[in-house]
Amino acid sequence: MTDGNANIDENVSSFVAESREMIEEVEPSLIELGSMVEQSGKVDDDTTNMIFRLFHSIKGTAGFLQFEQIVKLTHEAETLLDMFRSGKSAFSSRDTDMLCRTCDTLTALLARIEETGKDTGLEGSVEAMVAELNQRIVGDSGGKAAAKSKPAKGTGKKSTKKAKGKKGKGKAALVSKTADTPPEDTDEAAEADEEQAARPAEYDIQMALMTPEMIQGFTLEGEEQLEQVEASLLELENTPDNMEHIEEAYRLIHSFKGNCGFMGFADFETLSHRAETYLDGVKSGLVTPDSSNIPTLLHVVDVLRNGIADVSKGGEGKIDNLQVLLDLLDDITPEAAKAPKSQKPAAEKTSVVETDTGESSVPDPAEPVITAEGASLLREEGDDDEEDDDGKGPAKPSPEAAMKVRAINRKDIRVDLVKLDHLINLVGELVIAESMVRRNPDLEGYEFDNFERAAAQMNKIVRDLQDIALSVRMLPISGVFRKMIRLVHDLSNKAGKKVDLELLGEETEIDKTVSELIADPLVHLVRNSLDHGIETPEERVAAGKDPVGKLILEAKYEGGEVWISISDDGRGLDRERILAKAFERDLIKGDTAAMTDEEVFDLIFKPGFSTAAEVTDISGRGVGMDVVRRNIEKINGHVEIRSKPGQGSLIILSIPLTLAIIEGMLVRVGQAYYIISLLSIRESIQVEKSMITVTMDGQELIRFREEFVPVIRLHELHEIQADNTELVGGLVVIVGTQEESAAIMIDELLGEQQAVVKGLSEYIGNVKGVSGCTIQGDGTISLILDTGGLIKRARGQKNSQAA
Amino acid sequence: MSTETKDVLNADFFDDDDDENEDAQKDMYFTFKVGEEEYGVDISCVLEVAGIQKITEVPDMPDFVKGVINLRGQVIPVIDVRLRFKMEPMEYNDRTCILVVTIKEMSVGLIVDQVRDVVHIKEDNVEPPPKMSNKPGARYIKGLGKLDEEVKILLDLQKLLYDEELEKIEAAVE
Repeated sequence: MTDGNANIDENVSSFVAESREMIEEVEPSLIELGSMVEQSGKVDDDTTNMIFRLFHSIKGTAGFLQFEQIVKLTHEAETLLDMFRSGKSAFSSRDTDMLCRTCDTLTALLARIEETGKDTGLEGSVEAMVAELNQRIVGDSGGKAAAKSKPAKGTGKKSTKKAKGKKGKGKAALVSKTADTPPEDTDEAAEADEEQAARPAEYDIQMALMTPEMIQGFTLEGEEQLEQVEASLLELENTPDNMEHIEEAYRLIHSFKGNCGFMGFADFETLSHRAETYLDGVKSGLVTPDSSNIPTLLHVVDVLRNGIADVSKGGEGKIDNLQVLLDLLDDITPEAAKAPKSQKPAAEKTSVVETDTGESSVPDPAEPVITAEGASLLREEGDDDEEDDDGKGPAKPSPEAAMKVRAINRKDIRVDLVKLDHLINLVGELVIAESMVRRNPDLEGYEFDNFERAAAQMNKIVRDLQDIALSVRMLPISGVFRKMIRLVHDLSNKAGKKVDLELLGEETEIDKTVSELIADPLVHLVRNSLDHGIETPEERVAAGKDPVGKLILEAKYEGGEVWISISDDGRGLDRERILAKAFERDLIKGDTAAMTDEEVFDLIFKPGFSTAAEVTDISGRGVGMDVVRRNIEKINGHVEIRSKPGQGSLIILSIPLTLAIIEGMLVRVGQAYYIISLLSIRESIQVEKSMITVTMDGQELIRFREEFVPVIRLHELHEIQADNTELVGGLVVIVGTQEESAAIMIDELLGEQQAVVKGLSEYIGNVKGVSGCTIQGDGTISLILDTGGLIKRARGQKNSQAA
Repeated sequence: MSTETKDVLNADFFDDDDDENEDAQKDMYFTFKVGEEEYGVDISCVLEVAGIQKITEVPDMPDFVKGVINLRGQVIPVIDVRLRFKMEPMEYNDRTCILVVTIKEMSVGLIVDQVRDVVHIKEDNVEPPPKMSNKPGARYIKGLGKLDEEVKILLDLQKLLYDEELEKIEAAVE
C-alpha cells in the first residue's frame, strides 16, 4: 500500500488516459459555449450535453476505482452543467472559466494518480474548487433550497458529520429512502445532499450509459465475485478466525458493492454494503468471528446472486425483503463495529456511496433536491417503487437510448505504442525481405512466370500492409490544436486582450510521435503571440485595427512535410528592439545594418533572449524560442519567422510527416551509399562550367533557375574517397526548397527506394548531416542524409566566411 | 527485502564490482586476443560473436568507432579495440571477429583480433589493476585474472565504451 506508485494497475492507467482525453475534449467545448453565450446569449444543448456526459463518465469510472476526490469534483461540475441543461441556470462566461479551472484541478488529480496511485494530497484545491462550484450551484437554485442544503453541504463540516453520523449509517440510508427525514441528520443524507443527482435529466443519461454489454459484464463479474465470496465464507465456517478468508470475502464484497453502485442497483448495494460492514468489523477485530453468523451471510449472498440472475434476465435488480435482511445483518454486527468505522475507512466508504448515488442517478427520494418543486416531484413512496426505476433502466434500455449509446461508442482500441512500433518495424523488415527475395541475385537471367506473378502479388500486399501500418500511427493534429483553445482563452483573459482564435486544417494527420513533440513548441509560440504579438484592445484601436486580435493556427501538407503556421495580426517583431536586446545580452557584436531581417529575427531563437520588458508569468523569461527551435530540429523540422512591423507575424514550423519511412533516392559517393529523401530533391543536374560561380571566399555556387545554390562536397564533409571531385561535369542533386537549397555533389544516382528509417545507435549519437540510416535489400547499411541540416551547414559556412 | 540482506548485498557490491546475482555466469569470462595479450570480459555482457563483415562508416566519429553493421536487421555500432588501445591498426583477416556485447541495453560490436575461450577465474585469483601504468589501455582494466600460468586482462566494458575521452571528443564534435 505504501508504495502504491510502483504498481498502478492497468485499469487506473487507462482511466487516467481516458480522462485526460475527455478533459481535452471538454475544454474547447467549454470555451465554445462561452463564446456562444457572448454572441447569442444562448448555449447549444448538444455541446452542454456533451460536456455533461464527459464529466459524468469520468465520475463514473473514478467512482468505480474509488477516486473520491475526482468523484467529488466531477460531481459538482456535473450538477452545475445539469442546471444549464435543464435551464435552471444560465451559462455565463464566468462559468467557462470556473469549469476550465475544474478541469485543471482534475488534471492535477490525474497526475497525482499517475504518480502515487491515489488521488489524495490535493484535498485543499479540490475543496476550494468544490466550494466554488457549490456556491455557483446554490447561488442559482433559489434561496430556499440553498438555505436548506447549505449547512449540510459545507464541505468542511462534512467529515465531522460523517464521523458521528456513521453509526447510524445503514439505518439512515434506509430511513432517508423511505421518509422525509431531514438530510442533515445523517451522513448518508449529507452525502446524498451533495449528490443532488436526483434529477430526471440525469436519469436519461444513466439510461444512455448502460448498454446491454455493460449489464452483461456486471452480472458475469458479480456472479463470479459472489461465488468467491461464498467459497471464502464456507472456509470461514470451519475456521472462523482465518484472516485471509475474511479479507478475501471483504475485498470481494466491496468490489461487488462498487459495481452495484456504478450500475445503479441500490438494493444490492445497500445489502452488500451491510455485509461488508460486518466483515470489516471482523477484519478489524471489533466483531468476534463466529461461525454461527456465516449462514446469515451465505443467505445474503444467495439473495444477491438471485438478484443478479434476475437482472441478467432483464429483471429490475430489486430485493423483496431487503429490510429483513438488513436487520439480520444488523443483528450480527455489534454497534461497536459500525461506529469506529467512520474514523478509518470513512473516506473510502464515502467515495463509494457518493459514486453510487451519483451513478445511480435515479430519482432517489433520499436525496434532497435543490428546489422544493423538484423534491416533491421526485419523491416517491417506499423503496420498492424507487428501486423499480432503478432496475428498469439498466436492464431494459429503451431503443433510443441504445442508439444513443452506439453513437458515442468509439470504434478504437488502445494499443501500447511499443507494440505498435514493433509492428511497424517488422513491417519495415518485411519490406526489405520482400525485395531481397524478388531481386535475389540467384534469379538473375531466369524467367519464372509463375514466380513473377506470385512475387508481384506479394509485393502489392506488402506495400498495402506498409501503408496501413504507417497510417496507424497517424493522428489528426486537432488534438494538439484543441489544446490551444484553452490556452488562448486563459491567456487572453489574463492579459485583458481580446483574441479570436481560428483553427485551420485540423484534420491534417501527423505521426503520433511528431504530434507529441510539437505540442510544447506550439504552446510557446501561442504564448508569445498573445503576450508580445497581439496588443491590448486600446492599443489596437489606436493603431486602427479591430480591437479583437486574430490568431490563426493552420496545418497543411506541403510536399512531404506538414507546415504548421501560427499567425497573428499583432504588432509584429520589432527589428530595432531585437537588435538592442541582442546587444544588451551580448548575443551579437559589430555592425548590424547589414543583417537581413531574417537574421535579426533568428536572434530570438538564441538561448537567453527575451524582449519582454517585464517578466510576466506568461512569458518573458527568455526561455521559449530556443526550446521551440531545439524541439523542432530534434524531429528534423525547422522554424521560420516572417514579420511585418505593425501587421503581425507568421511563424511556420515545417515538420516531416512521419519519422518511420521515407521515399528516398539512393546515391553513391565513392564507396559510400546515401539515401536522400525524394521530397527534398528538386532536381539532379550535370554541372556545366557556365553554371558555376565561386565567391571570393571560395564558396562554390551553381546557378539553377535564377537561384544561386551553394555546393556541398559531401566527400569532403564526410572524408570519403569520391570517384569524381571535379565540379565541372560532375553530378549534383539540388535539395531543399525554393527559398533555400543546396547542391550535393555525388558520383552516381542509383534509383528510388523506400527506406525504413533506423536510428544510428545511441552510442553514436547525432551525426552532422545524417539523420539516420536504413538497411538495403542486400543487407548493407546506408546513411540517410539530413538535407535540412546540410543546407543549414552550407549557409552557416557562407555566413561565417562572410563575417 | 529486509535491511539485513540489503546490507549484505551492499557490502558485496563494495567489496568487488562483480555481479553477484548471476551465479551461473559468476566469474566466467569471455576471452579474446588483441595484439599479444589476452583479454577477458564478463560473459554476461556477451551477446554473440559475428564474423567480420561490411562496416558502414559513419562520419564525424573518433577513429576507433569504425561505423555500423547490420546484425539481422539491427544497426549496431562497432569499435576497433586495437585503435581504442592506441595500438597499430591491423588489416582485418579471417580470424578477426566482432564480439557483440551489450551494456545498458545497448549493443556494441568490438572488433578483436581473435576470440579465444570462455574461462572461469575465481575471484581470489583476480588482482586489482596495476596502480601506475602509462599504457593508454590501462584505464580500461578492471583486474588481472590469473589462470594457471597465464594472465588475462579483465576489461571494464563501461570504461572501454564510455570514457571521458570519448565524451570529450563528443563535446568537441558538438
